[in-house]
Amino acid sequence: MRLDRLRIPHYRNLRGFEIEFDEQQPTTVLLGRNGTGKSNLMEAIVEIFRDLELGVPPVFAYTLDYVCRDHAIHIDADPARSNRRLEISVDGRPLTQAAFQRDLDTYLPNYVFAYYSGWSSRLERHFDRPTRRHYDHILKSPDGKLPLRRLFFCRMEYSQLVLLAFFLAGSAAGHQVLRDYLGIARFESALFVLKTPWWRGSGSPSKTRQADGDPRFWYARGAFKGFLDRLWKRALAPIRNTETIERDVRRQGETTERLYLFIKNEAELAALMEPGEDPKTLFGYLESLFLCDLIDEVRVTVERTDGERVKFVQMSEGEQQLLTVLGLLLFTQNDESLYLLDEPDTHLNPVWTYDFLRLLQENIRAEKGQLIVATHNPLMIGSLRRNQVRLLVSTEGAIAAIEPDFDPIGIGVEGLLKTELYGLPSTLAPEVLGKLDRHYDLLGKPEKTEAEQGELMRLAAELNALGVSRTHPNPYFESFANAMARRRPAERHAPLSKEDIDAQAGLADAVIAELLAEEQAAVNGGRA
Amino acid sequence: MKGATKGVAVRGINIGDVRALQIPLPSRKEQDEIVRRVESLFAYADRLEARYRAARTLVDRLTPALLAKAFSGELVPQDPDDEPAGLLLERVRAARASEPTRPGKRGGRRAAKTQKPETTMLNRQDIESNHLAAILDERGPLTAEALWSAAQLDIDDFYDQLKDEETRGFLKERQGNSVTAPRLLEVAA
Repeated sequence: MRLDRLRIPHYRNLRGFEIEFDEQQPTTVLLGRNGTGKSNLMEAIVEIFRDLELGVPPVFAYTLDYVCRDHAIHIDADPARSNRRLEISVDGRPLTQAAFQRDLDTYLPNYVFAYYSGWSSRLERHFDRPTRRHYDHILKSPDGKLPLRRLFFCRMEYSQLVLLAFFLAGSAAGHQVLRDYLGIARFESALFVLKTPWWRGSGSPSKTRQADGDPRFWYARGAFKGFLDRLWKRALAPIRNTETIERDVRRQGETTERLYLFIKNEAELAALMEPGEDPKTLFGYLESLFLCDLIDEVRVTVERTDGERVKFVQMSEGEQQLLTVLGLLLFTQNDESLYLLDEPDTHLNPVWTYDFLRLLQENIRAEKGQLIVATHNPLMIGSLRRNQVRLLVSTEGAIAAIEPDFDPIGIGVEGLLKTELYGLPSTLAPEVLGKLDRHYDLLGKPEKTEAEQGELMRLAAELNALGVSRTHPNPYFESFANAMARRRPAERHAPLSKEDIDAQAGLADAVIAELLAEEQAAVNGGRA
Repeated sequence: MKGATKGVAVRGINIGDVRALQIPLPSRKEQDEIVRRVESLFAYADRLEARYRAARTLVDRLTPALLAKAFSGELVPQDPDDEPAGLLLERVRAARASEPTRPGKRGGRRAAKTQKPETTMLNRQDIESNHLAAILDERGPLTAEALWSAAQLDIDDFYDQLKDEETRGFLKERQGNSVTAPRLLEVAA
């Protein structure tokens, strides 16, 4: 599943918008400042696929080209047309909407995942209708398999579920990520905290529920009954307890019955899956428990590489975030999926942000999927080529998606910040920049008053103390600048005579010789 | 009345027949009596409600009153040979001082969230490695709920401890035949 081209005449702040993706690339990063429509584009994509799945008329006009299971699909939607609001063609041949609906599993991606780390629930709301449909389906369908739904919004609560699936995936790459980035050696235990669901009410259960429901789980019926039974059998010493839980300071504590099911090791966890099921199935079961309000939380304990036991909730938000996104990708990597990640890097430290995409590309072979990441963090794209990046820029009220005319990998983060995209004249603070300007003004003046000469000396000393001109994106320049600063004579900024210039050139040569010697010593030291 | 109606297409009734109808009514005296009884039943209901309220208030005050009595020594006959409270406190203080300082309470936040029987909670650092097995040894097989309550541990610590003791072979879970049968914990043979 790869998007090729999307044209939207009018959707929120997107006017006459067109974006072309390089469909050879598994990853495209949308980069833009605030308010350039990154999130709106994500929402538009979600709405398009949602309505295609539900088979309802489009709510806004668009034309979309995408490739799915080797079919080139073209969709032209316009709610303003009186008939044929949705025109579909597959591999150049027109297809009726009814035929498209009959064969959704051929023409739509397996999954459309969305992840958003911010506060707003705008993106999540688009998933309400499919979620409700899925939820009704779970509660009414007989016991059996529960497919993961096509449109899926990853909520923060799911990070623990993803972690479980991670352990079960048995993928070497997955374990490597856990070990290298999070210092997690292995699974220790998991405590499933189940609770009285809202639909249980307070009266006695209805006749259908009594006949059909499971009395151990508040007469729950539906597709996950068998899974609940497995969970019960695998758990060590289940405990049922009535307790008061405070969820919100504004409300009174709520008295509810909880059921604690403890899975004591990885073998028991793996036994929750029946033959032929995979971690994705397990994730589907657990998610439906959440949807049906039967589970409060899953407390996962892991053993760190230093042998210490840690509860997953004690780990930092950044660690949880990295794990959630990676985990989701890991266990759907063999499907035709579309991943929409809106600011997946908000809690990551700069080093992880920088490594993020490399990590994804190395560990997840999204051969059939496409990853669209929206961010305003230049660190995120530092290691990408231009065809993997689309800049969203707002010009004269319209928003355009353009391919940058440079490879981000070549100009580095500093360089990116100074491009017209971010428009910073320099990454230095304005105050320091002002001093630099004044410094160069004074330097260039042929006749300086005594006061000006004094100011120049003071500014030079100040800037030197601040360490300005000692950092440079190119590490060779940086070590040169540092060595130069170390050896610079005090009276450097007086007008230079011929001898001075020669002396400085000599000094530069000496510095380079010294650096080469240092490097040689380091290499030798490394070998020794 | 139905029997007195006449006619096929339009059924009608004669005014004379209606006048001849007999409607039984209790005498005025009887009616007064009924009203009096209903009134008195209402009054009875009101009195019951008032008594319930009074009892409820008493119950609410009972715990504080009981505690007050307990602290003033009125609850049980006093034994002059008992150790004075001051001395007991001294002893507690000494015991505390000789203990190694404990690291911060684990899972403090969770403990505040989950309501538990009102008992002193223990830390896993302070209990024996066979804490649960020792309880089972003394009391015999217990349900998970009963063992948890006796263990004085918060739920996360309880399961961590249970796992450790089970792995070491101190105790085991008896698997029932029926899924609804209680699953008892017992000392491993």
